[in-house]
Amino acid sequence: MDYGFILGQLAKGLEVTLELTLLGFLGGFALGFLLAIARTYSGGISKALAVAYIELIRGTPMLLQLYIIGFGLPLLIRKYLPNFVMNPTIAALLGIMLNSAAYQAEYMRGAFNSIESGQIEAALSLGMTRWEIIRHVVFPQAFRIMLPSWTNEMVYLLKYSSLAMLLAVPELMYMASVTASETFLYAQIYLIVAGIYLVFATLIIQLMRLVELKIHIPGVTTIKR
Amino acid sequence: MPPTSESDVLIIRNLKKKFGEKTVLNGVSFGVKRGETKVIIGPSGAGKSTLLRCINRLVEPDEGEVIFDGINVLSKDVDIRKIRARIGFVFQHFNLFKHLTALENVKIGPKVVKGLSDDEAEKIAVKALKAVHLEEDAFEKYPAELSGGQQQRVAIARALAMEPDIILFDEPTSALDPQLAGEVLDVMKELAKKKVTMLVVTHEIGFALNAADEVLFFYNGRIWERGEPRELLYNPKREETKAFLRRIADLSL
Ligand SMILES: Nc1ncnc2c1ncn2[C@@H]1O[C@H](COP(=O)(O)OP(=O)(O)OP(=O)(O)O)[C@@H](O)[C@H]1O
Ligand SMILES: [Mg+2]
Repeated sequence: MDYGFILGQLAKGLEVTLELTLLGFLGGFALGFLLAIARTYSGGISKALAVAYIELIRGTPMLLQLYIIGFGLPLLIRKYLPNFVMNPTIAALLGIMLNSAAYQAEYMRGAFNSIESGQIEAALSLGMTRWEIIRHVVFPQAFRIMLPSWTNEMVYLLKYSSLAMLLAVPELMYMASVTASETFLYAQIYLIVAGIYLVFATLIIQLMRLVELKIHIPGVTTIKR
Repeated sequence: MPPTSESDVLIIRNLKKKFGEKTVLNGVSFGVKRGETKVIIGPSGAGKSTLLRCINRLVEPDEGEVIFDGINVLSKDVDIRKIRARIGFVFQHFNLFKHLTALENVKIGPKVVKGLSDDEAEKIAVKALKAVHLEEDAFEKYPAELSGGQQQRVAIARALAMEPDIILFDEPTSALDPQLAGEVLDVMKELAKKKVTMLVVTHEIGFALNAADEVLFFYNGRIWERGEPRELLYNPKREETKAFLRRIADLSL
């Protein structure tokens, strides 16, 4: 059998998987940051909306969220734009971003709240604005504190982006199962795929570990040997 | 001679604050003149910290007036951040920014709040750190790598670097061993000699005797007794003052 062909197919899938993971993570970070700020430092309607969003996402399966965006949303849009077609990869990416945002918001909220109020008072007493405090005092420390949770989130996205196969997104698991059913080499292909996930998960963990060491500040983070 | 409002950096009139049902400040009035060091003593829960925190509005008082350099601090249309930038605050637990080195902790105010360039801020910060006698090899260390005394001196430098009109100290040495407290008190005594205006909550009687122009004894949310340091500390008139001074004398024996 032609392993060159199989590996080629898997490489294409891997590329999509890595895209989903990386872009999903970054998009989730941007939105999650806003949600965390709204939930931690605002009040009224913006806080209520942030809480509602976070709990909605965390309280429902990611697969359901992907289905709603991949199958439900296009139907809705087509009522107004009859020729609209949803690209499944875009749909999956959107779903992963929206999902990750809720989790990242909670990690960030935890990290924000772990900065003692004394430092905030010191910053206020210097005359800093709320935004300056977030930017210069809270975020640089929260960022370091939440790195381990971020590592988890990235590894999680790497693995759970495989749910996108159910929207026919040509990511790693999808390409694997298509190639397997064409070649009947189920065991071999799935073993290779397991290896690929494992290698990239380990890579992420080790890379993030280097980052942790690099930006470690005594008194802010502790490094476990 | 009654203080003229010209020379008063800070005037507090009839300040009141309740937390729920509990009255913490019950009509406090006094002034602090430019160049003066005023010391506040009093038992735990008397409202000393609350008073300091009302001055820069970390806590909103319910009633009364705070006049800083002729500005009504409690007025709605005052930009409180501009006021805070001119009032130094030194906390019991230092409250340094943990992710910044000693030098960066002192630079951040001039840089972020006053908008100075990195070079200008650095010059001011180095000068301030020298004024508190921070050892040069500690400039680049993080708070967690400094002793408590060093941390508190950096916190004082952080306040000084803003070139404030007054510095408020809330029990700056209570979290320190006597020896480390000594190095912080020495710095504060020097500042008093240099006529830096200070309002200091402390139980350090030695500092009050050595550096204060006046001592206020706080009790039950009021100024219970006030006077010249020697007069008030050696010859208190009221029972509560005597009892309090006896207690802290016992502790320091
Ligand atoms: N934010 C707050 N909410 C509710 N009660 C408060 C708050 N801050 C202070 N208090 C209460 O107000 C009273 C006075 O507190 P404050 O900290 O001003 O006293 P203090 O004179 O500084 O005492 P200490 O010597 O213990 O520091 C205390 O009973 C305290 O529990
Ligand atoms: Mg206090």
